[in-house]
Amino acid sequence: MNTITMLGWPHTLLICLLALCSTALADGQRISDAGRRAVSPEIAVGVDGAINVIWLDKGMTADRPPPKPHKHGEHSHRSWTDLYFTRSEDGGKTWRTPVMINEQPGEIWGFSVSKPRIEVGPGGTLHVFYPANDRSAAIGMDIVSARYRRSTDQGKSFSAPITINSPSGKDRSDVLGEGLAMANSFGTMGVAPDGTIITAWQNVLDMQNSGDGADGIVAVSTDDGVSFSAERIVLPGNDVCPCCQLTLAFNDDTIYMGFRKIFDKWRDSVIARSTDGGNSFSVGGRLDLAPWELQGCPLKPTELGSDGERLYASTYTGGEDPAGLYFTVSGDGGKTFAGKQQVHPAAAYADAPALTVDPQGIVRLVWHAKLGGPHRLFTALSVDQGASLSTPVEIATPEGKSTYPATAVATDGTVYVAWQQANEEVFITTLLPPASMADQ
Amino acid sequence: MRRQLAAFACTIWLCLTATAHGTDRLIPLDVAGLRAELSALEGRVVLINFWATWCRPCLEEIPTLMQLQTKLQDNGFSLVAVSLDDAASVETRVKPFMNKQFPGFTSYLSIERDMDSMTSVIDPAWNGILPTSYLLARDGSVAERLQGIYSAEEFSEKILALSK
Repeated sequence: MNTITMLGWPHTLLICLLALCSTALADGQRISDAGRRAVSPEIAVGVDGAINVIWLDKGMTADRPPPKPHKHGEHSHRSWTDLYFTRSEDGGKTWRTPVMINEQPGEIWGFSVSKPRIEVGPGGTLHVFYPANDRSAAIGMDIVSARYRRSTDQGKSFSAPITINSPSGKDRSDVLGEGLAMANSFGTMGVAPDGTIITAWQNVLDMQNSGDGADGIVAVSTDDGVSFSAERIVLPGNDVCPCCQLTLAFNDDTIYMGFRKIFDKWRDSVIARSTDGGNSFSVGGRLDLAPWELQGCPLKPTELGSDGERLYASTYTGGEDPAGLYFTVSGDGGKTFAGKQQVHPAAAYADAPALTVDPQGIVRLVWHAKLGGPHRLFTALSVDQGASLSTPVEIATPEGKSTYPATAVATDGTVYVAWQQANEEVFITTLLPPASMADQ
Repeated sequence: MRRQLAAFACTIWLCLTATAHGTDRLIPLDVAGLRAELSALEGRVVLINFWATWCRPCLEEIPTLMQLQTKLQDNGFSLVAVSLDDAASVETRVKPFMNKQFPGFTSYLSIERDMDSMTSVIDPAWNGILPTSYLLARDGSVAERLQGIYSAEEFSEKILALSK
């Protein structure tokens, strides 16, 4: 049971003020190299407190956009993106020089709503999972593979990449754009408390009809990333929305996967759960949001977080009136959700939620929103197990567009926020836990 | 007089784009270019369609858009298709894809840093969904935002209602 229960309005007001104060304490700092195009960061913090950040690098700013000549018959990558890594071991005061961690230049296929993922295992191993441009040996066509690397020396070096998905040998360019024969993409990765690594992604191998979606695939490692199980279709039926990145959350014995399911003409957020270490998933609850009729690409993940008892979810939906970013809670392990709240009613548009739950059970949401100007970052807290959410507070960031926040929480409750700043740079800032603010 | 000038500008635009289309059916476009485009098209009913090669529903809708363009161009209607693919992949991905899948389709390609920069010209509160189309009345105002796939009949009904 969490320590904070049944709070009155004075405490809620205090939390709002604390959320405001905590955002004003730390200035954002750029951690990507000047002159390089850095976008779509992801972040992970281990038990040692070290902060690890990855992002997509699109080359030199001076070369933007960098169209490359394409010789007839030459193998062409589907993007020109690399994956960069940096790390701070002093709470973000200093950072290592960013380094490229993909093996082949231009190897990474990804963008803001299908980001590579980084996680830290209980023993400190760094795990990186990403969609990679690849070539099918069987059919000689371009594909996207689900690929993994790890580091056991705090990111000084990374293992040889492992392609986790099974080779298909099928050409599904009939249902994929871009001339790709197959894409194992829009995936995610998480590390369970016991160190089990869950990788999940989508493919359209069995797509039949125009209204079909993808299948959800999982592969598991129980040896800290040395090897992975064969892939398993855990969400069959071609009804996973193929352009909404999968998400994961954990408690001691349950793995939750968030995805957007195609219900005829609706695309709604749904939770699947596994109690056997990721071997199988059962589809459980649909978020308590009005059905969203859309025959298009929402590009909206279902962000999840768990405090061990409750499962928190946040996503954008066009089904609700008003449309917008919503937050909701499940008290029964993702089977049912209740208490939906619009996160930022004053915003013209709010999206891209990043959700953390600290060891005290405090839920923090960070997202980007537009209020008549460019996208800015905002945050809100829930200290009552999701029953209420504090008033949105803008996070101090440089002028211009601040987008696609990624968050990670340290054991002391400090939340680190990395984001993409206007001129394609990656920034980071720190949001202190409410408890520490109250002590000051 | 204003309407005549608009018609003249539109004629010039059509000539220029027709020339451009003759050599290249994927035309780079920035925010200023889109604004100029829309200004030149005032007086016509315009459907602006934002799409991408990685958006399957977008691709399903392209034949419908091509059909509309052919069928309604004499009704004071113009289609402005804008690909939001990464401009870095124009030579390796978007052009080969269009040539193979939609050889008769002409589109602009956004060269802005991100999708939102381009769509914000029309809709500052664009919610990131594709395909998104905006139906513009003759005075250039946004009459309707249409998200997801629409049929030719649905589009035609809306366009013709604005064309009267």
